[in-house]
Amino acid sequence: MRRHAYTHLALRGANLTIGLQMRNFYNQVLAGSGAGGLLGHKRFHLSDYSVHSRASFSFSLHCFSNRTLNTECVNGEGLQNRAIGDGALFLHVTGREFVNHPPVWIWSLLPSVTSLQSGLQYSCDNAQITDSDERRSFVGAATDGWSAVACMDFFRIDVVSNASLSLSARKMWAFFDDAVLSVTAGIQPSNASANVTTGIEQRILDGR
Amino acid sequence: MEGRRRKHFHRYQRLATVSLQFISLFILSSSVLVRLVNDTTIELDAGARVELDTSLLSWVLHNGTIIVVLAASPGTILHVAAASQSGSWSKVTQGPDDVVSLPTFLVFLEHGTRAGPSFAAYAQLPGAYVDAASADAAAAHFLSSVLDSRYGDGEGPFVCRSRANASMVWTVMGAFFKPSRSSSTPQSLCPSISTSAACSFMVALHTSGIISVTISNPNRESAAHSIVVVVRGVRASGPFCAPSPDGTAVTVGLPSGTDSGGSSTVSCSTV
Repeated sequence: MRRHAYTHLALRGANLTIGLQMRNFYNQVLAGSGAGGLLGHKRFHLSDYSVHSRASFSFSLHCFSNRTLNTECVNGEGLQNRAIGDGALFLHVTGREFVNHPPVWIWSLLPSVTSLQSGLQYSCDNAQITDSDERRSFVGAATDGWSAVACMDFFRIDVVSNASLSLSARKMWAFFDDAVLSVTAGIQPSNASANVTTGIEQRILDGR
Repeated sequence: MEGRRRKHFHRYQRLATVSLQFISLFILSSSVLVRLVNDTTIELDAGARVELDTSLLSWVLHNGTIIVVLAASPGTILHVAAASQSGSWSKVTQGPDDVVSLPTFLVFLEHGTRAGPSFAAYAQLPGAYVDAASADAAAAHFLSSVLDSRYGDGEGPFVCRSRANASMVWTVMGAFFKPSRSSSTPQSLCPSISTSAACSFMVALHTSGIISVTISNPNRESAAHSIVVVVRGVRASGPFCAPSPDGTAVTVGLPSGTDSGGSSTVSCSTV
């Protein structure tokens, strides 16, 4: 959308209030992440998704449960999305941290995601969960609209060279005014010699 | 920074191949600082990586945001990199096969191989922290605000912070994957919390003297209509609050229907 189009609507809106709302929305979108009136914590419990916003930053948390799909891969898009719903937590300060960054991501090291480094090649074939054991019910969050604590009973299976390797963990996120605390406990791979990682951050270096 | 040692990590034995067309990116110094518990500060130049045991780390600073590892199983390794990563749009979506590269700030934990379960807890503090001194102060302030915690218990992790939010004296946040009870150290401000069912919860004492209890039932069991939260060591009264042998029992009704999975909050007045 172009700047003059918003201005035009604002000036010619039959309802001045709507015009002002449009202008505020425009300013919010272009002013960067966290600007404007969308402050607080919003839990979309039907989507297993949370947004935590303050004036200078926001976090988004992507989970899945037995009530939601972990991701989708359709029309040749989302080829690496396998772990995007595994408790991925993205920090936005300017809103430009991840611009054009996904092609170079190491997709098994997404922020806050605990992964088996099994050598599994992510693709559309293994993006969406098909094993019901991986779909757990204890996924949710308690929030008063300003702070929140979210949780996820996490269980994933990697099938590599006809062998099934599983990973279980219990995840919790505590959202405060000044920080987000991420906890991963009970990390247990089915194979004791498997290498397990938890991503913390992966963004454009010095990106602003 | 006087008296403190600084090290420059210019390269690492597994440094990625540098593309000449991106050489300009490596002329600029990185803004990644890694602070160790012995007061050494490592400044990662572009292209550099470092691995260290989490027990040696104080914090990592990049672009104003601090990362602190509060706890981890012994032998957990922290990886920090300020290096170029490459890929193509065709790898992620419909797009060209051309290889693209971008300098990337990458941090992750390697839990290692062990027979029993492992754990880790870390925090991200977004802000405008520009140097080691400001990061030192912020990290120390944050850590001192954590009064009680349990991170290694996969059934009932929780954390209690003081002044976590402007209007709160203390806040206990937890996820009890089964009915459980949090602990509290004798001198801690934080009360012990127990719940009658698996839930995620926030219990906070506000500066106004109000205790608020917020819960949700992630399992969304249709037969569960309420959860009782016992706040030990605190006497409070209100429509949903009743005395218990060592504190206050707060009964919180759960949302139902399409709101099942949402949160409920009740308040009590401390006496």
